This record gives sequence, C-alpha cells and structure tokens, in this order.
Amino acid sequence: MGGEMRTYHTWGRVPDSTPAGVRLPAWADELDRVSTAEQPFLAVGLQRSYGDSALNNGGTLVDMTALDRVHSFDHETGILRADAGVVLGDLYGLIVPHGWFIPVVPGTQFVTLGGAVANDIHGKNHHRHGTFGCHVRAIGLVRSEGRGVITQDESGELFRATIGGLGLTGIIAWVEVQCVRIASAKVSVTNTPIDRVGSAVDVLSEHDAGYEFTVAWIDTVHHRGRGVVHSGNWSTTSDSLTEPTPKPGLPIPFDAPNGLVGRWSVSMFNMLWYARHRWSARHAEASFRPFFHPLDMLQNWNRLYGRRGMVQYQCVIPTAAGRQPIEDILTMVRKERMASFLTVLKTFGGLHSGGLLSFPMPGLTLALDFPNTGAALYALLDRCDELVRETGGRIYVAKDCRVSGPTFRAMYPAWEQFREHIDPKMSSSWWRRVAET
Amino acid sequence: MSTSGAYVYFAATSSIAEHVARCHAKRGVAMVLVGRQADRLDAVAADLKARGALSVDVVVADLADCTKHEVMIADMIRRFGRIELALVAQGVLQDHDELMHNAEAVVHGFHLNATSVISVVHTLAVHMLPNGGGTIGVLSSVAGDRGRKTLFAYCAAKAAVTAFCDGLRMRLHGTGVHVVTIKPGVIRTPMTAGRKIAPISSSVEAAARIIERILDGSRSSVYVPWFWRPIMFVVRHLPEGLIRRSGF
Repeated sequence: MGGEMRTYHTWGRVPDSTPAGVRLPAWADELDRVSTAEQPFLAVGLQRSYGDSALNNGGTLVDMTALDRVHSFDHETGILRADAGVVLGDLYGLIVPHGWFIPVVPGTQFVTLGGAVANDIHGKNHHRHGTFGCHVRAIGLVRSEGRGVITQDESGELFRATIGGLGLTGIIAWVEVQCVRIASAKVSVTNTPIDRVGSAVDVLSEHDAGYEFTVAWIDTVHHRGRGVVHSGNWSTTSDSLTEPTPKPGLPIPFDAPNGLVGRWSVSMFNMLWYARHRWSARHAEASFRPFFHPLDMLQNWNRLYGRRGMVQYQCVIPTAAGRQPIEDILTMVRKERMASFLTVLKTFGGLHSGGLLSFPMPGLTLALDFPNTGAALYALLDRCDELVRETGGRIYVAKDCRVSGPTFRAMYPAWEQFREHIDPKMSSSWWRRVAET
Repeated sequence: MSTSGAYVYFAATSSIAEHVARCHAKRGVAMVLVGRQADRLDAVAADLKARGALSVDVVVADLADCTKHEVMIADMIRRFGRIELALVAQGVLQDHDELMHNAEAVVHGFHLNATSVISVVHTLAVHMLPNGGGTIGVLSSVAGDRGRKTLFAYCAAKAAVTAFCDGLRMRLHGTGVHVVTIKPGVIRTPMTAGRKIAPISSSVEAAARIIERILDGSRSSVYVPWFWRPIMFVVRHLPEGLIRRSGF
C-alpha cells in the first residue's frame, strides 16, 4: 500500500521522529523476515516511554502490538507465557478471576510485556518485589543471526543485557513470567497527608514495612512541598476476585493550547488533590485498576501539554546520599519557577533483577514532569543530572529525551558490557544519542 | 456432545475473525478454527483457550477447494451436534495494478473472495437447517456497494457475496438460520502499518466488538461502524463521472 510515512513520537511527544519503514508482524514466523530490513531496526510496543528510546529515526520500526497472543496460562502455578505485544491491562481479565496478578505493574496499564522487560519496569511494590525482570522466567529472543530462548540460569549475560536492555539485544518475541497470588481484586488504601517533603520520606520508610504498595505524591509548587503518601495492601476483608467493569478513560480529543499546563493550573490541581485527601477518609477499599493506574482515567492525557509536549525527569538517589539531594532538586525546580504537574517520590528496595542497564537501586526515586518549555528547562535538568551523578545515582532511560552521552555513560558504567550484546542490526534514536555522542 | 453448539470461524487467522473469536472466548464456548496454516491456527487456538474458550479444535484446510466444504461441515455437525454460530471471513486483497495484466489472477481472486465464500455459506445453511438453526455471519465489505477503479475485482466479488447473503437470508426467513451480511469500512490491519490512511479508520478491536454485538442480534445487513451507511448511501448515488475523478 502506498502513502507517506507518518510521524512517530512517544508519550512525551518530544522529539518527533520519522522512520524509513514500519513493519507490523502479526505472526511469530514473520519475525525472522524482519531482520532482513535494510536499515537498523527496533521493536517497539505501545511507545509509552517518554523520550526517544522507543524511536528509530531513519530506521525500521517493528511495531509489535499485533503480536498479542497468550501462549499459556497455568491456573495452578501462575506461570504465564505470552507474545511480547500483549498489553498488561488486557491480561487482568484473564488472570485476576483465577487469583493471580502481574508481579510488577507501572503507573499505566498500557504497556506491553516486551516493553515491561525492555525497560525493566518498577511499580509501587519495588521495596517488596523489585522490578518486572525479577519475575521473568524465560524470553523468546529473535536476533538477526537466529532465534533462541534465554533464561537467567542458562544465558547469563545476554539475559541480563536483555532485562532493561531497551530492546537492543534482539526482538523480544515472547515472555514467560511468574504471576503472584492474590486473594482479592481490591486494595485497602491508606492516604496520609504530609506537610513537607521530609515527612514524605519518613512516612514512606515507615510504611514500607507494613504495606506492599507505597508511593508519595508531592506538590512542588508549595513552598515546603506538601503531599500525600498513598499506601496499600491487597484487601483481606473482601475476597471477591471479580472486577467491576472497567470504565474506558475519558478521551482528550485534541491538543490543548501550549500554556494550559503551567504554574497556575498545576498549583490549582495540586491544591485540590491535597484538599481531597486532607479532608476525606484516610482508609478506603479501591478496585485494583484505579489504584495502580490512576492516570489512565484520562486517555491521551499527554495532549494536555499541547503540541510542544512534555519532559519527564526521573532519577534515583542511592540510600547513602540520604534525602538531602531530593530536597535540593525540588528547591532548584522551585527557584526556577518551574512547575511539575505530577511529582512522585518512592523508596526503592534492595532486590535487583541483574539487568545491566536496569534503573532502580536502593534509595529514593523522584519523578517530575514539565511542559516542554525549551532551553531554560533543559539547563535546569542538566544541573539536576550533575547533582544526581555526584551522589552516585542515575536517571531513568524510559523517561529521557535529553541526557548527554558522557552523563549517561557515567551513570551506567555497565554500558560497555551491555554494548557487547547488542544485535548488530539493531539500534534506536536513544542509543545513537547516548552511545555515539 | 454439546447442546449449546460450536462457534466456527472460517479463515480464523484473518485479523477480524480472530478478534471476534477473542470476544466470544470469554463465553466459555466450544470453538472450531478453519484455516490454511497449522502453526498460525495453533497460536490462535492456544490464545483463545487462555482467554476462556471451553475447547478449541483446529481444522487445516484450503477453503479455495470448494469440493471439501460439504464433508468438513457435515463432520463439525457430527462432532458438536449443532453449529451455534459461524463466521465466514476468507478473502484476499490483491494488487489491482497487477490485475490489469493478469486475467487468471482476476478469476482466482474472484474464486477466493466470492465463490468459496458462497459455497461455505450455502453448505452451512443446508446443514444448520435440520440441526437447530444458528447464525451465519459473513464478512463482506463496503467495497461491494459500488464498483471502483482502484479495487474493481475486489468490489465485484464483495458485491456477489452481499447479494447472495441478502437473498439467502430472505429465503431462510423464519427457519431459525439467520444470515448476517457484515460490511466493514476501513479497518487498521497489518497492511496499513505506518502509513497515513483514512482518518475514519477503525481499530480491529473496536470492529470486533461491534461484530460480536451484531451477531447476537437479529439485524440483517450491517455497516461497521454504523457511519459507513450514510457514507455508502452517498457513494452509491454519485454519478459515475464524479466517482471516476475522485480517484478512489
């Protein structure tokens, strides 16, 4: 079929990218043919990463979303094997009624299994269960020289390079993951309002012992950084495994004007959010979907940022460096009068998947998102990079569209080891940016 | 032997048929998948089982061979007692520039898109009539509503399918066998990947949900989604000179 190539961008809508070709394999047997592509290729899922790690400007994009079949699900053992294009949100209907859940889920349900592996995603339970990669039993990997099955025990470093490997070690064709047992489809939630960033950290570390899920939301515009800590456990009072029919998210049908998300609207939103949790019941029973994926209430919420898009910044500060660097970053942001719409703070635990480029390490992680206001924002984030690097921390590649090559390489010293395992015919816009500049 | 009857999908590896089957799998019914490629059918079968199907049988057959339809369908009735629902989805979209130089390919395409569909639908009707009735959904297309220069052969075959199904439905009225003519508009499939296509295209998941609903009801000839009905009303009534110049 003819027609012009369309422009691709990921969730942050920065940058735009035009691939030279796109393949949409629908069957496993078609994957072998993909590696005959003339340009370097990259397999992508729903492109919910924020930056350029799921883009391949001038190369071939292999859209994996049509490869979305479940191979098997064992109701007794909870072992699930499915194509890489299967979306986490679509799996709930299959596994929850049988008393199983995905071991690690991110803030949105719209991620594929392949993307979950390639970014070694984390969630509200990192302090207990580590990253998604900790629960992966096997991966079907199609490399340009042939296909194979890789496992933690038998494939050693190739497996560790693939977990969190941004899809560069071969096309992830399928994933086998160990699900976790649940006795209820409901979560008992505790919301704790806090009046400064410091107490968020205290409440988080205190709750990590008693709650399976914890996360803090911070108001960055507020002068002390007040917020709410959301903590939860699978419900023990309700034993129902049926989920109320999920409502589809409210669509945002067009791009909002560029300035809609700014200091004023952010501070209004944050005030309402704080007030809601400050004055309402501290304990509640919630259905799992709105608890884990609150932002999915709005489809395409990224359009609220307008055409210029948004820039996410997520870093981790190792435990040894304490909480001061987090406070310093928030102070820098406040001084520059930048407003982060959604600011999230969470403690990372000690479990590690072994992924060579895996992001989490024991410590505190902070995620901020900003409307893409250009140079001033980039200068601020460069200064944040500097601070993070000095503490021995790093930034999350899935959120990044701007970090410099030298900074990335300093933050991820295993990158050279990782490079050995890249499929020679694969590349991405992100990899070319951080490895070749 | 199940009394509720089997759900049968002809060309089960076609994107639309597979997605409709996924909707049906949640009902925990017995399913039969017919198609050419065993490994692909097995992949679909495993998926439908995981999604809740009671059982999934695979029948590997080339539907272009109409002489096999009779035995195949008689066999299904013998095994399952009844066919509750059948979805007939086989078809091929050929490169129409190439068809300009190849009469044989035109005839072959017509055979796949029209003759083999008509043969399956007819055979199904004959066997379902004395065995408790059921629903036969047939994937035709909006293309069958009017001949167009870019898809002349495809349009002709779909027009034949539409006319056959419409007539047969009237013939079978009141017998318990219900034939539904399904006319999808532009659906995003692997063929349109990465290209700028009509802004009024629909996702295959959305189309499948609509078709699931249609097959449960008693409607006769349905556009998917609904807005293709007014569009095609206009297209059917435009003078040929305009259609020719529109380039579509």
